[in-house]
Amino acid sequence: MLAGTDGRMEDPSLQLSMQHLYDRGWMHLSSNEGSSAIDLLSLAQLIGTPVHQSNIPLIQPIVPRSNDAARHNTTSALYGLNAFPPHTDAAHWPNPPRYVLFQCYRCQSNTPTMIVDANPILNDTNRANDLARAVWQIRRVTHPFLCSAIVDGPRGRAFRWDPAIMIPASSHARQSLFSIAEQISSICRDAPITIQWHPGDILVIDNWRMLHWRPSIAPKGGPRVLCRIFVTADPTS
Amino acid sequence: MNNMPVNQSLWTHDLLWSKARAYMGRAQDVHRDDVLFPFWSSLTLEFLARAALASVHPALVADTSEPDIRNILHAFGRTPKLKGFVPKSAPMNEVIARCEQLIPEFTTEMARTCRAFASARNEELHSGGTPFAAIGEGWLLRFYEIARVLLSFQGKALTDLLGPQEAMAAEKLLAAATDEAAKSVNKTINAHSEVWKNKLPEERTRLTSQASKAAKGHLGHVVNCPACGSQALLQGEEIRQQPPVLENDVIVIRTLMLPNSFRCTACELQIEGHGRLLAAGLGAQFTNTARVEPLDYYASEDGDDEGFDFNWNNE
Repeated sequence: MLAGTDGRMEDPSLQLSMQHLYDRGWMHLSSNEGSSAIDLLSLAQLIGTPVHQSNIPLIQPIVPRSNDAARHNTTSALYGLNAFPPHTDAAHWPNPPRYVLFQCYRCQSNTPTMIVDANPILNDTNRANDLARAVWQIRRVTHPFLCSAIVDGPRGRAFRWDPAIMIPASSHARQSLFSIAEQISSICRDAPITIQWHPGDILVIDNWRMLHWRPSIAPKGGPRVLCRIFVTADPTS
Repeated sequence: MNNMPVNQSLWTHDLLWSKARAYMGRAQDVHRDDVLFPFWSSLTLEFLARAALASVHPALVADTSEPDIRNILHAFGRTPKLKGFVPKSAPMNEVIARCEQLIPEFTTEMARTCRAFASARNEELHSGGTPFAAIGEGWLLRFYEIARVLLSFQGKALTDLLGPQEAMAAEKLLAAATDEAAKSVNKTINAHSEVWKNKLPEERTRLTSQASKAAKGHLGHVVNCPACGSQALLQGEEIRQQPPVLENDVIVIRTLMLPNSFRCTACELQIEGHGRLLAAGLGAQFTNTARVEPLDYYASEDGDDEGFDFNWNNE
């Protein structure tokens, strides 16, 4: 059975991985290296406060579905088994969660998860200022709202990007859309990181910095079941 | 609490700030002589004010007139028990009052202008009137002045709201207005100075002596009149009060003040408004220092001016 968090932070390999997360924006705990010794929820609680929408379970199973089989208003309903676009998770929350944790439960499809560091855009003053000026409309939600793609707060710079639910809401956003999409395509082309899944593997990403996506699912590929938990550093802000 | 459902409010700073930018964009998309230009600008100002409050915490945007704390709970991401709860934010008049308390540079004059904008917006939306057709000149300058203060409080600048080109034009307009205010106030000072010089020396001595006696530290901040050099009083509005401290067995309360009115009893020069005072070289913030006996401080709730003394040096 999986272990809890007591004394877990004293584990040198976990400490190293956490440092990896803070420095590079992601960490991958391979089941071959004993990651199954810690369960997903315990790890989430080590990192921050696990949060969830009231109508969605805290630990949410993610299974590829065709457009027809997917739940209404989900990414799968839009893209089905095709490739997802690079995005940050929960971009439809007023304050998107800081970290997203995935754990592989079953994976016979060999479909990886792709991640890329958006810091080349976020740390470029001109690009970031340009992006910060644009206003975006969050749609396909019960309470649509306007927001920024970049928010500078006391805990650092947060990036919000999901083309499935964000459309330009200012002339600057409309003018910049092509350029921003091109910059994102460029980093995804140049420096993508491929996470190959094995049952028990855990991936943690800094959702304010890293974009992620999955390639298309092979038509006759085997099952691919991941579980996901959102974690926020401050649930009240 | 280890795990919690998300119930994030729509009063977060980024959402309100984004709405301000979106409305500003709408204003910029219409002709400058279109009534929609000041209309969208008035809505921009409203959301800049709300965003300024939310930059401290979304709870500052919550309506507090309800008999419970339902709206404050909502701002903290908690769900009140009330069935069919619809979060209610503070009305604009209250938002302006909160900004006045919270933001040091947000003056009473600015609050008055914001209320005028809000009133025009209400008339536009709720009556057959078209108030923005009669808004007159000068509103854009006041809009920029207030926007700059509200933006600065939330760590932003005019360029973040208007874009670099329009921000540059706005800064030029503000600088020109400052120059104009300086010219106007200097003209007034020079006129009083001339009248003063034409008085008999004995009369000047008598008036200066009287002014010196009248300019007591407990009645205002004592400064030298820029027209006649006599001692005169500067009044201000409270920006922030520091926590009381005990010094030599006396409780000392220091309050940071923003000058808003000057009057010299010798040459009768009067200057009203912080902008004009700034142009006259009297706009620097000053500290009002009150010294109170501990017994009086803890025993009485009534205000008592005795014991107040204004510092001589501007900060």
